[in-house]
This record gives sequence, C-alpha cells and structure tokens, in this order.
Amino acid sequence: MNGEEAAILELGLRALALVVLVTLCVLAVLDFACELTRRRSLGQRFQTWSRRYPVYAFGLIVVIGALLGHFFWQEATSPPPGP
Amino acid sequence: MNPLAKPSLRSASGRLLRLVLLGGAAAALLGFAGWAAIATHLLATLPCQNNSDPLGRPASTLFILGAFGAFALGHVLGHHRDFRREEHLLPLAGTPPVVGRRRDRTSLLLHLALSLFLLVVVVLLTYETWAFWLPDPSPRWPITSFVRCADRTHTVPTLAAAWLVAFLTGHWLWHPLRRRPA
Repeated sequence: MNGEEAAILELGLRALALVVLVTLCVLAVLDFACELTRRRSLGQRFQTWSRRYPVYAFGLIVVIGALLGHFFWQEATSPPPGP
Repeated sequence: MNPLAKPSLRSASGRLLRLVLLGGAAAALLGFAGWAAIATHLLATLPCQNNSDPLGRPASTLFILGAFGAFALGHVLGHHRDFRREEHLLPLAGTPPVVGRRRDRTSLLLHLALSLFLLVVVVLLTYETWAFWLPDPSPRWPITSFVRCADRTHTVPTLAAAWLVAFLTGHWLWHPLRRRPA
C-alpha cells in the first residue's frame, strides 16, 4: 500500500468515525438536556414513534443488530491477530 | 429505614444516575470522535493492509456479549426516569396513540436530530453497497473493512464505542412501556 492510498484510507476511517460518533453524541447531549430540563426524553419520543410505526422500529433494530453482528462477530473464519 | 424507599429520594437518585450515564456517554463519544480524528494512523500497516481480517476469539465474543449487556443496561436505565412531570403526556391505558400530541420547544430540534441520524444510516448503507458493487478484490474499501481495521489496531476504544452505541440504542429504542390508568 503506497502513501497516497494509506492517506485516503485514513481519511475514510476518520470521516466514518466522526460522522457516526458525533451524530450519536449530539443525540446523547439532547437527551441529557431533556433530562436536565425535565422535558420528554428521546426514549419517550422514540417510544411514541415506535408504537405508531412498529414495523419501522422493528426494522431499525434489525438493521442495527445486523450491522453490529456483521462488523464484530466473525469467530469462525477469523485468523489469529497479525503482528 | 432505607432512604431509597422514599419515592422522592428514589426518583432523585434515578435522575442523577441517568444524568451521569447520559452525560458520560456523550462525553465518551465526543472523546472517541476527537481521538479518531487525530490519532488514527495505522491503516498502512498490518493487519489493515489486506482489508482487515476480522477479530477472533475471545475479543469477538466480548464485542457481541458486551453489546447485548449494554443494550439491556440502557433499557434498565429507562426505568429510573422521573415521569411525574410528564404524566399527562403518557398514553391512556387501553387507547390507541393519539396523533398530534402536545409539543414543547425541543420537538423540532429532536425531530431534526432523529431524521439526521436515520439519514446518516441510509448514506452509510448506500456507500457500503457501492463499495461492494465490484467483484473481489474490490479497490474500494467498504465500511466493514474500516471497522475491522479499527477492531484490530485499536481494540479497546472500538470495544468501548460499540458498547456505548448498544447502550444508547437500548435506552432509546427499548424504553419501558408506561400508560396512565384510564
């Protein structure tokens, strides 16, 4: 792998981590603010939404669970860690 | 007498616990994002050179079992919320959900944030599909390879980030069901 490819890959990893982590961080801060000011929490709003659209909520959980399993659960085919 | 047997003390301690965990989760996510922006520099080395082989035992199991545990912990934390001030917002028992319920000033901001989150998921899955479109060996790196590279080169921070995501998912999507008595 040359230096240019490595730089592109590093940029991709950074962008991916920033987008996912910052988005979740913003949601967590909003939920924290809701709790602090005693407003309806994100969980309550999600609950209302998922009660109204149960198929969408089920689909969302399936997608998140499938992604976690896909990324992190590969025991059977995994070689030992490299040097 | 157990001080937590008093309802007001129990709800205050539950609220404090929730504030600490949510604030801690937000701070940790911000820290991981900052760390990912400035400290990830191992993609040119093994094992990332070969598009990252997945992790083996026991780390892989730890990721999954820990994520399940964090998901359940997020749900349990939802039981420790003080609902007294929003009792009137809960749905009545035995009635279907009412559309157009009363909103406060945070509604628009929260709906935008949730829409943004779902949009990010769609964009990432679109990119994943595009990256996998070409036959192997593809010159495009799918998100799977980025994540597995992070698994292999920065196992502990990635493990903590995965657990945090599962914790927040459990807290937001597996909320305890509450209703007002009819």
